[in-house]
Amino acid sequence: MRKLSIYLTTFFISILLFLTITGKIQEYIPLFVTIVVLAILILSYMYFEKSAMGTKEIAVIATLSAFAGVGRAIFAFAPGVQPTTFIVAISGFVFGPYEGFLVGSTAAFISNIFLGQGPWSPWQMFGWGIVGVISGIIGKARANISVEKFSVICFLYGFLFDWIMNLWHVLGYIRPLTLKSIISAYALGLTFDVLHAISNFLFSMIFFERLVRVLRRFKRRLEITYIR
Amino acid sequence: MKRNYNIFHVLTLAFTSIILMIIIFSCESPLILTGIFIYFLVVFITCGHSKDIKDGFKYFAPFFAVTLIINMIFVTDGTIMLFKAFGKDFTLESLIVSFMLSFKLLLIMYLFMMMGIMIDSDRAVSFFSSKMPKSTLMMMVTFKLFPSMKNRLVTLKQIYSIRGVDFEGKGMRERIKAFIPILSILLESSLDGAFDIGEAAYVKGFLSGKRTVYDRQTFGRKDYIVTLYAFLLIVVYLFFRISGSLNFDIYIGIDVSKFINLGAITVFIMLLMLAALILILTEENEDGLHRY
Repeated sequence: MRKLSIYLTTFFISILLFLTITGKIQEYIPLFVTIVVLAILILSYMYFEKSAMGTKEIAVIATLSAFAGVGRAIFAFAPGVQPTTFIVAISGFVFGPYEGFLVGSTAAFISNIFLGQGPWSPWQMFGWGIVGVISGIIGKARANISVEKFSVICFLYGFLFDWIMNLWHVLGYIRPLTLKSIISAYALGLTFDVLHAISNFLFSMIFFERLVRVLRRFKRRLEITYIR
Repeated sequence: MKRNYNIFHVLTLAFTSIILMIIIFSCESPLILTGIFIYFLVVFITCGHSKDIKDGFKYFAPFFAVTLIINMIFVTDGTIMLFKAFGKDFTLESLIVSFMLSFKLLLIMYLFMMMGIMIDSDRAVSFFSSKMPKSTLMMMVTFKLFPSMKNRLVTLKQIYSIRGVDFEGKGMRERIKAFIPILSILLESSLDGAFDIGEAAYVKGFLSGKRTVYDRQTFGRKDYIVTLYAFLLIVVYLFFRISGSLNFDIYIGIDVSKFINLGAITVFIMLLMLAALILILTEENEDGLHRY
């Protein structure tokens, strides 16, 4: 089942890329993209069901998800400014790509129960999930990354996440889809993208070292004390 | 009398919602979209959630503005000119498309709101905990922690305000910096608590044995009826969609037969019948029991 989930996810993404390149079936793209995003999320959770994680690991991921979700609510004073992206990134960085994906997608889903579910929910789950995955890969490759480098990566996450979020609106509700209309739609949200990116950078510069220490300590505790 | 749509199985509601989502995303026919809108109105009004219709508009307003602006300003296709401004033609076609795309966006929002109303969270958790125990456990723990963490954060903020921390600093950096002690404390104490939650969940049978179910949902007659009807709806819709009678491109030309034709009318009536069907199936007997 775990392998099947990986193969199917890869297959869906490949088909999606192919369709985007050919551009012949523009009217069906919103439907197909939405189904692919939902399928990837479902497959990821199916993969999670077959993982070896125990209740303690699950509780830690759930706690980080709630923590990331709460971050959205407390920084509501400024649009685009919220620490969720940074918390998801740092969780993925310390715990790994798959855990990062789970923290990101669960944080989006749960916080939207309180803030309002909508067509944006699967996309937020997907966007923050991707942020978690990339950070996890970075964490595995370079565990001792400098604060500055990680902060620059977080800065870029601001654009990555917002561009994924813009996709559902652009693909679904702009016709005809031309390069000009797409660029215009993205340009309208550029101010928020920049604010998000800057706030990610600041959150990382201020909190990175402190939170990495905390998370690594808990990761060690998980590895030492848990009995399967 | 308020209708209770929670009597349907989670899978029935999920399946019907997916069918409606497919139609909304892939359909351009105003008549069919109106049919779906009527279905949502019936659900909202009959289950006492009329306020959600207004709330949906509130969420929808900013997206509507952006959709309208982009489609009207940046798309120049169309032949019937409404007015000219800033050296640019504003066409009737682009206005109609903007309204239609915005309408689809509103329908998608209503769909998610309707799912929230119709799907009973306890029953959904009960169902999914036997099928996907790990995901359900994770969602349950997060769901439980979210409000308590939020309250704790407010309390911590008050304490640190009294101690002199200024959360209303001038720059973004100052404001973020003020949260250093709060977020660190909250994260550490929450993660400490996570270990206790994990152990408690294990003791209560999560991932350690078979858990009993208090109120197991069964896939009853009403679920078969609605599921089969929804399946029939999508088959009929796809038939007319593939045959080309639902193809609707305003930029090619405004033609009444593109709005109202056999395919659009059939699917429209089927959507109204779906609304009638769920009303009949959720009708209560005199003793308060459901018919099926």
